[in-house]
Amino acid sequence: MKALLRKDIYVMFTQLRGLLLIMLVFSVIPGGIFIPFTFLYTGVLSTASLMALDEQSQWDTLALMLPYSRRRLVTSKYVMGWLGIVAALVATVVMQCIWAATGVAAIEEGFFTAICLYIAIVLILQAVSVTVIYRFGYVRGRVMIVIAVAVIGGVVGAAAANGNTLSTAATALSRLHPVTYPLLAAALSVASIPISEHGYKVRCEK
Amino acid sequence: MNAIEVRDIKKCYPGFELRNVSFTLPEGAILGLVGENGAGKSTLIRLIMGAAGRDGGEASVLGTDVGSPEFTKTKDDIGVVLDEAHFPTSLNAAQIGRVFADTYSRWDGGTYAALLKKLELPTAKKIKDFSRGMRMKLALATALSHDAKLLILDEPTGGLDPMVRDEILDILEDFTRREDRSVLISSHIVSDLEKLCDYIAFLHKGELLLFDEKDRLLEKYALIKLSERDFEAVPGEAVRGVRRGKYGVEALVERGLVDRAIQAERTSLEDIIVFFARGDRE
Repeated sequence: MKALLRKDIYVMFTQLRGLLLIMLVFSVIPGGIFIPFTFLYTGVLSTASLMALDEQSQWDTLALMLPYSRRRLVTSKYVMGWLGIVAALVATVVMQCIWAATGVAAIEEGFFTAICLYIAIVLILQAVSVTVIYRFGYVRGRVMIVIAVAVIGGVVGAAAANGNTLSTAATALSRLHPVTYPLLAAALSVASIPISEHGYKVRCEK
Repeated sequence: MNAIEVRDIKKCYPGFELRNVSFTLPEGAILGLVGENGAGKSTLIRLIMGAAGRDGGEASVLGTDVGSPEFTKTKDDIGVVLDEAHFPTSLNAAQIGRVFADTYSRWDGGTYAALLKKLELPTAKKIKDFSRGMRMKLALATALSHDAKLLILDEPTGGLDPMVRDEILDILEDFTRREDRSVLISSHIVSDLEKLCDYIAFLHKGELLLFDEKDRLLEKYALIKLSERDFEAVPGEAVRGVRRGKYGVEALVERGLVDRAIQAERTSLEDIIVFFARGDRE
């Protein structure tokens, strides 16, 4: 695992510096408008980009012949996403606290809840995108992700049209402590690892 | 212990089938896997390395079934070089060394550094700025720096100039000086394999047409050049491939099955391969 993470960190700092810079800029902007994007870029886009670069260089072909199990190969990508989320969280909280302390911008009420919600959403998006890319590869996977987002959007839209369904869900969520959102999402994310592994195996068999 | 054992291995893709391939590579031997592009060499290597699932048959490497979870650990004893380096191109040789140091339990940084120096590879230059020859040499350096017992190389010399090819073959010869080390090397450059290998396997359209010791093959088969009329007297079971021209017939025959009166020439591995493929066509 250490080797795979080291390789991905090297690739992040050599080929995905732009993403890291955007994450930093978004976390620095006072007021927190861009915070969701900070998490999205580090948690989802960076992982998907690393997988795309693995396919492009055919590292994924070589890696299957090196002493890494398929489970480790898959898990390392999740871990990279989780590390990205932690980095985004640290950068965001530190910067927003600095702005609050220096009087540039106050931390608004609900900031903590919002952060928990962003992390939960990003963890779910990351799990979906990693699973889909491992099963279909990056090029086909991108199309599948767009379709998945459209389907999820459609379901949420339909729920919104039926006001009762959405408010029932919102009420149920609001009863939970905000920390449970990312914890539930993290559990979901971990549960998706064997699914990703199976999808990757199916793709390799072809 | 055999380095590689393959029994009736099968793999089907749409439009291609690898059919019942069987062979054994003894420990300490070098096997050359020959075949035209698309013959199934890379597929066979992927199956041997457990990177793809087989549709039938069995394969074990260094005594471990390639489909078992234990095979991940066995890969620690195997060095792999594919037809391209397949390293992330934004990394340099020093970074690749650090990644592989975390990958193989017996990684030897000193050996790696010595190989980079010997092969004149820069440590700080990005791989994307390497030539194809440099990339292949880097792949070879990583495969040789962890005291591997088995080296698996898929077309490592394809597309390289003769000087780099020679350099790579020299390194492989060095590697096999120790008796417990084995090599499986695939190539369609038969002359490279002729220099290096103890065993030859010829894969043609997904089928293993030939597997034997190189010296036995060269002893067993011979080339005859006869007129069409004289050729008719040659027993059919002796003939492995025929080439007909304006001036008569050239055929690859089993030396022991033809009349000693017929003058048979010593053949090369390349001739054997070409005639076997031709025989299959006819």
